[in-house]
Amino acid sequence: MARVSAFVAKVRSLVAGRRADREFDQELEAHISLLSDRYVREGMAPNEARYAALRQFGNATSLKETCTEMRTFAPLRTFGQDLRYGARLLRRSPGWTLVAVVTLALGIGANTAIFGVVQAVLLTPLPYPASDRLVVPCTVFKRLRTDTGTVAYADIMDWKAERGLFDAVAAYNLATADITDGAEPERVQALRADEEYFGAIGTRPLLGRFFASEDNVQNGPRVVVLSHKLWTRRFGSDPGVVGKAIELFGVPATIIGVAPPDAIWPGNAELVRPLGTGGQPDANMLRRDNHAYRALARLRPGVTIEQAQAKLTLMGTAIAGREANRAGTNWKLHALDAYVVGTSLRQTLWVLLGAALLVLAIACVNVANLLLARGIAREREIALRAALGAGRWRIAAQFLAESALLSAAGGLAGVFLGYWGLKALVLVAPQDIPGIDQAQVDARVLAFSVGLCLVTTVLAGLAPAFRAARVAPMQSFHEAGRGASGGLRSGRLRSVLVVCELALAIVLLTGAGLLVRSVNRTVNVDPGVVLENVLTARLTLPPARYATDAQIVDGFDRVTESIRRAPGVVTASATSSLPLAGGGLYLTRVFLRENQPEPPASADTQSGWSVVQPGYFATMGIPIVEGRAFTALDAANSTQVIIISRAMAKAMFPDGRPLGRRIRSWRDENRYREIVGVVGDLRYNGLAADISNNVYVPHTQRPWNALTVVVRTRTDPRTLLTSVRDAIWLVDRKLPLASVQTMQQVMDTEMARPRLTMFLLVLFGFAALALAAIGTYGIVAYSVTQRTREIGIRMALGALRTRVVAMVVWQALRLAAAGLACGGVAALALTRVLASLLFEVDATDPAVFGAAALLLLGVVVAAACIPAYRASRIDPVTMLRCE
Amino acid sequence: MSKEAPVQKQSDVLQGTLDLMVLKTLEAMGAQHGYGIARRIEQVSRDVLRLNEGTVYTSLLRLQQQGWIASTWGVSENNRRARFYSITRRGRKQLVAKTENWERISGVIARLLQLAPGGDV
Repeated sequence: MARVSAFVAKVRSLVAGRRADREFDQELEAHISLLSDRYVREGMAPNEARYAALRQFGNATSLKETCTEMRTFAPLRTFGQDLRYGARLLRRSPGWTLVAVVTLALGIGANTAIFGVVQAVLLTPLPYPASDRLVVPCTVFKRLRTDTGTVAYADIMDWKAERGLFDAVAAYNLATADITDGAEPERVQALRADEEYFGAIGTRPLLGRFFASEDNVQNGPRVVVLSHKLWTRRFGSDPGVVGKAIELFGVPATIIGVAPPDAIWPGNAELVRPLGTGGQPDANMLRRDNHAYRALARLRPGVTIEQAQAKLTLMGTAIAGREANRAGTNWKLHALDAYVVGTSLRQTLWVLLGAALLVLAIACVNVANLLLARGIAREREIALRAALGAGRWRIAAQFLAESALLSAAGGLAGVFLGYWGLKALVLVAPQDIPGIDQAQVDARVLAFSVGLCLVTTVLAGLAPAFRAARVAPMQSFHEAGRGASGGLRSGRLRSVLVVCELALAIVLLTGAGLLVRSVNRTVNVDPGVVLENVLTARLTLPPARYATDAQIVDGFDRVTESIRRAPGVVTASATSSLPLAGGGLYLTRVFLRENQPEPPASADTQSGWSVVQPGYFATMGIPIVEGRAFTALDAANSTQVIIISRAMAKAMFPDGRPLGRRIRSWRDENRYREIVGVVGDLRYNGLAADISNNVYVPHTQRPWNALTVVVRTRTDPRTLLTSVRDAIWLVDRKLPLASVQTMQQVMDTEMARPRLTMFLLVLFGFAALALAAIGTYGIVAYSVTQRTREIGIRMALGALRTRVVAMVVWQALRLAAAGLACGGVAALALTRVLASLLFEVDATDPAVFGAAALLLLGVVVAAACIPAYRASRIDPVTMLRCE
Repeated sequence: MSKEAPVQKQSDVLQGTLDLMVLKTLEAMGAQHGYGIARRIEQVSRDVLRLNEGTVYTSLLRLQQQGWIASTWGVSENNRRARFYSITRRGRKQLVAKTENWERISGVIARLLQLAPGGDV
C-alpha cells in the first residue's frame, strides 16, 4: 500500500516537476532563516549566525539532490537527459545520423510490409464461425505423393457415419453457372453441395432456408441459394427475393434462400445448388476410385484434429487393404485454414519474413558499428565523465539512449516505408493468394514494428554501451595523450561485427541466388505448346437449348468456325482443359491395354484426359510425333479413336509401337479406343510440375457442353478480344465468355508467385550486400586512419605504394574470408528451408554458392579500395613532420 | 571511501527511527514545520542525538509519499512562507503499529543486553 502511494506520488511529480523543486528550496530557506534567527537571539552576529545555521542544517545541496531523486523516477529522469544529449549529438552530425536512420528504416520497413502480408494471410482466422473446427478430408495417393482434394463419394459416406468425430460432413463440387436472364449473360463461380453443407460451415440463412434432403436428389427441384454478394449485386438486396426465379443456363430455378456474408467456402462461389447425391446412389458413384467429389467437415466440439486423423487413418488403412483399386491410398485431414493457404505459400511467407529479419539484423550490426566508431572518437569524453564519477550504467545508458533515438526515428520512417511497401506488394502480388487484399498496417502490424524498434535499440546499442562502460579513464587519457591508436580492442569487436554482417549477407545472397536459378530453370522449361499469340476463353452451352450430343457438337463446331472467319485469326479450336494449370475440367483416368488383366494382377496406367476439337494440336503448336491428328472424319459413330502423349506411349507400350493398338478406361465405359496418333508431351499441372501422361479424345465422340475455346492469332491476341466475342455472339447472343486470357497470361499467372518471391529475396540480398559493403568500408577506412603513422613510417622506410594498397585490401579480404566461412556454414543449414520452393535446383547448388561468394568478395574488395587508395597517398614527410 | 562507509550505515539505522520520531512528534504537537520538528527532537533527545537537521526533510518527504502525513503552506514565526506538516489517519494507525513493534524489539534487545556472560539462554 505504502509502495503504491509512493509510486502515485512519483507519477504526480512527473507533472509537478520543477515547481516541487522550487517549493522545496523555499522550505529549506525558511528553515535556515528560522535557525539563524535563533542564533541571533542567542547573541551571535547575523553573519556568524547564518554560517552556524548552514552548518547545523548540513549539506543542503546533497539533500536537495536526494529529495529530487526520491520524488522522481531517477532512471527515467536521467534517461530523459541522455535522450536530450543524444538528440543534440545526432543533430550535430546529420550525415551520420541519416545513414543510420535510413539503414534502420529499410530494415524495419521491409519487416513491416512482409509482416503485414503474413498477418493477413497466415495469422488472420477464416471468417466462418469456430473456423478452427473446419477440416478438409482428402485422399492421399502414396504413389503420386499428392492429395488432390477430390475424394470418392463412398469415402464421404463413411465419414458421414462417424457422428462421434464430426458434427457434419458435406459433399460438394466446384461449378460455374451462367446467369442468362437480364441484359448481359454472366458467368459466376458456383457450388453444388448437399444438405449438410451449410451445417458444416455453421451458418443460418439470412433469408428463406437452406437445402433439405428432399432438395438433394437426382433430378430434384431446381432450387438455388444465393450468396450475400450476388444478392446485393444482382438483386439490390431485395428482401422479397425468396421464391423468385433466376435463369441459369437458360432454365429458371427458384431462389429458396440467401446466405449471410462470408458463409460460403470457397469464397468466390456466388450461388449454391443441390449436389443431387441423395436417394439411392448408383454403382458408379460408389466406386472407391471415383474421386469426383470434395468434402468439408466440422469436427465435434472436444474432438481434436489429431484424434479424428488417428481414427481416419485406421479406417483408410482398412479400405486400402480391402479394395484393390485403393491400394496405397489413405485419408488425411487438413485444417481448413492451412488447406486454404497451402504449404508452399506458407513456407514462402515465412522465408520472406526470415529474410527481412536478416536484413534488419544486418542493419542493426551496421548501426552498432557506427555507434562504436563514434564511441571510440568520444573516448576522451567518456573517460572524463568516468573520472568525474559517472557510473558505468550512466555511461552505457547514454549509448542506449542514442540507439533508442535512432531506432525510434528509423522505426517511424520504417513504418511509413512499410505502409507504402505493403500497398505496392498487395498491388503486384498474385490475386490468388487468399486474404492478401485484406493486408494493411493495422494495430498488430504496428505492435510488431514497435517490438522490432525495441529489439533494434538493444541490438544496436548493446555492444557500444558495453564497450563504453568498460572505458578505463587512466589508460584512455594516456593513449589519447599520445595521439596513437587507442582502439585495438574495439577494432577487434568491430571486426567481429563486420564478419557477422558479411556472414548474414552471404546467407541472403545464396538464398536469392537459388531462387533466381530456380525461376530461370522454370521459365526455360519447354512448355510443349507455343505460348505466343493464343487467346483462350471458357464457354458453356446451356443444356436447355443444347440438349442432345449432336446439338452440342454442332454448337461448338459453329462457334469455332465463326471464330476462324474473324479477321486476324489464324486458326481456332476447343479443349476441355488448358495446359500449364490454365484451368478447365482436367480428369485423371486409369487405362488398360487390350488383353491386359485388371489390377491388382497388373498395374494400370494413369493419364490426364482431355476432350478436343479437330485442329487443337495445330492451334496450340503441339507437335504430332507419330500418326495423325483428329479430323472431321472422326465422327460420333465412326471408329472410336484416341491420341496419346509421348510419355503415355512410353509408359504403356515399351515396345514402341503404339499406333493401331487399343486401350480402355472404366471411366470411359470400358470402350476400346484405337490409338491413331502420338503427340508431344506438355505440362498440364504447371511449368514446375512433372510431365504427366495425357490422352486426347475427339469431341464428337465425347460431347461435353463446357469447353475452352483456343484461338491462334496473327498479332497480339489481346487486341482481338472483341472480334472473337462478336464471332461467338454471331452464333448465339446468349453465351457468356469467362476466364478470357492469353496463354502468355496463363504462364505469367503461374510464374507470378515464384517471380515475386525471387524479386523480394534479390532485393533483400542486395540490401544486405550494400549494408555489408558500408560496414566493411567503415572498418577498413577507420583502421587506415588509425594506422596513418605506421603507414607513413613504412613508406619512409621504402615500402611501395602497391604494397600499402595490398596490405589494406588484405585486411578486408581476411574479414571477407571469415565472413564467408561462417556464412557458408549458416547458408548450408538455412537454405534447406528453401528446398521445397526450388525447381530442379539443389538447395546446396555449388554454382550458386560460388557465385554468391565471388560477388561478396568483389564488393568487399571494392569497398576496401577507397581507403586503400587513401592509404597509398599518405605523404611520409608530412606525416613524420607532424610527429 | 573508508571514511564514508560508517556514516552511511549510521544513517541507515537512523532512517526508520527518525521516521518514527517525526510521526510521534507530529502526533504529540499537531501541525509543525520542519524547523519545529527538528527543535522538538533536539529538545527531547537532550542533545544526545545530534543530526544534520536537513535529514528531517528526507524523512518528511518519505512519510508524505506514503500518505502518513499531509502538508499545507502557512506562515512561520518570522513571517516566512513555510510548509506545515500534520499526521493523517493512516499515519496514526501506522504510528501505533510502529510503536508496538519498536517496544517489542527494544524489549528483546534490552533483555539480551542484560544477559550475564556464560549464562544459560
